[in-house]
Amino acid sequence: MSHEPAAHAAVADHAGHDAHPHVNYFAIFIALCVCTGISIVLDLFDAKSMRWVMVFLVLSVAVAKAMFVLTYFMHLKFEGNWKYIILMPTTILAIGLMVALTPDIGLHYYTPDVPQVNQTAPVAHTPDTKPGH
Amino acid sequence: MGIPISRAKLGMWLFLGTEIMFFTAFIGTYIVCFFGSPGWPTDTHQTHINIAAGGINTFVLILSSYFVVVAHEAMGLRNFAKARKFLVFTMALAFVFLGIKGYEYSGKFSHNILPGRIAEDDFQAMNNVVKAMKVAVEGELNGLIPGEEKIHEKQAALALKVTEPKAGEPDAQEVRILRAWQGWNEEFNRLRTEVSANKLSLKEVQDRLDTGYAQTIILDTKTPVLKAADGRELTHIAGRLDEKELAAYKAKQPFTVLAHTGESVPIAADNLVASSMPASVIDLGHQIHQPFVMPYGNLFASCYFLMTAFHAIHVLVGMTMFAVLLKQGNALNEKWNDFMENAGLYWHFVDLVWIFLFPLLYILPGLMRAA
Repeated sequence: MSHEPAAHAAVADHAGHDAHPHVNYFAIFIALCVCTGISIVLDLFDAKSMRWVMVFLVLSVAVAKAMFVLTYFMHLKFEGNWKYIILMPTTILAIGLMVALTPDIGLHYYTPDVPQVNQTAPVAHTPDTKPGH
Repeated sequence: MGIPISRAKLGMWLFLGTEIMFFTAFIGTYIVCFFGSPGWPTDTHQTHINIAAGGINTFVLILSSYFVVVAHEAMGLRNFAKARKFLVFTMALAFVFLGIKGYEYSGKFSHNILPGRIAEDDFQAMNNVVKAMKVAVEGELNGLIPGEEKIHEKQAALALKVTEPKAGEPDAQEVRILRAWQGWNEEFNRLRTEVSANKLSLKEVQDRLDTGYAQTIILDTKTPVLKAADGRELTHIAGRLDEKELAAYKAKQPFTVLAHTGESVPIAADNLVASSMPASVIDLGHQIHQPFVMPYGNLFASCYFLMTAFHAIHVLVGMTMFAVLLKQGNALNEKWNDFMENAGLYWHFVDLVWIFLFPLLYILPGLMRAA
C-alpha cells in the first residue's frame, strides 16, 4: 500500500527530471578543469607586487568553480525559489561569523601581545660554559 | 502547495545548509586568525604543504563529481548498469583522494608538524631534539633487549651484561654493541642536561647532530688515563676524534681523544683493551630530524588539520553512502533514485568545500605573506 505513493512520486520525479533542458555535464566538467588549470597557473606567477589582484583572481576562480558545481551538477539552476530560502540564512551566518570575529582577532588596533613577538630588544644568548674547545 | 521536491531531497538540502555553516565556521575562523596573527608560516618546504598534491586532489574530486552526476543521469534513464559502473569509478576516485591526503598527512606526522608539537623558538626546538633523541635511544634499547620490561629495568639488565673488559681478551661483539648503546645513552643524558640548563645554542645542538655524534667514541683502556672530578681514575672515556685522530686510531697509531670533560687525552694504541677495535663510533645523530623553528606554526597546524580532517571525515561519509548503493548490486532500481540524487548532492558539497579549501590553504598563504 505505502509503496504506491512512493512509486508514483518516483515517476513524478522522473517527469520533473525529464522536463528540464538537458545539461551537457561533460562541458561543465571541462570548464571546471580549465578553472583548476587557471588557478594553478596563477599560483606559479611570482607577483608579489600585485598581491591583492592575484588574491582576487584566485578567489574568483574558486567562486566560478563553485557556481558551476552548484548550478549545474547540483541542479540548482532548475530548482525553484526555495533554494534562496535555504541558502540565505547559511550565507548570512557564514559572513556574519567573520564580521563578528574580525574586531576581536582580525584587526590590529592594539599592539598584538603574543609570545612570538619580542617587544623589547632581544638579549643575545651566551652559553654559560663551552664544553671542549 | 509545498515545495515540488521529495522530502528526502529537502532534508538533504537543509542538512547541506547546516553543513555549509559548519565549514564556513572553520574557514572563517582560519581567515580571521590568518589576518589577525602577526605572522604565518609560508615556506611550503617547512610546512610540507604540497601544492601539486592539492591540485591533483582538486582534479580528482571534480572528476568524481562528474562521474556521480553521470551515474545519476543514467539512473534517471533506467540504465542501472551504467549507473553502477560510474558509482564504482566515483568510489575509486574517493579512495585516491584519501590516499593522497594520507600521503600528505604522513609527511607532516613524520616531521612532527602537529598542533602543540612545533617549536616556535630556539629553546623549544632544542627540547624537541632532546625528545626525539629520547625516543631513538629507548627504541635502540628495546631493539637490543626485547621484552615487556620497563626502560630502567632494561638499562639495569644491559649494565649487568656489560662487564669490565678483561685485559687481553677481545670484547664479544654483543658486548661491544651494548657498550655503544651505553655511550649513546651517556651522550643523550649529556645533551638533555645541557639543554635544560640552557647551556647550548640551537646551532651547537645542530652541529652535534650533524657531525658531533659521528665522531664520538667510547674507549676502554687497560691503564687509567683520565681522572674524574671526584678523583677516581677512569679506564673509560667518552670523547671526540677529529679526522686526523680517527685515522690514527684506525691505523693503530697513538692518537688524542678530546674527552667530554674538556681534556685532551693521549692514548697509546697498545693501551686500548683488545687488539681489534674495542670501541664504537656512535652515529645515531642522523636518525633524528634536523631541528627547525616555525613561528606561528602551531596556529597554522591547528587550522590546517581542523579543516582538512573534517573534510576527510565528510569524504568518508560520502563513501559510505556510495557503498550502500553499490551493495545493492544488480538490485539497484528506480526506487533508489532519490537516494542516489541525495548521495550525489552530498558528494558535490564535499567537492565544493575542497574547491574553497585548496586555494585558501595551499595558494593564498604564499601570496599574502611576502617571505
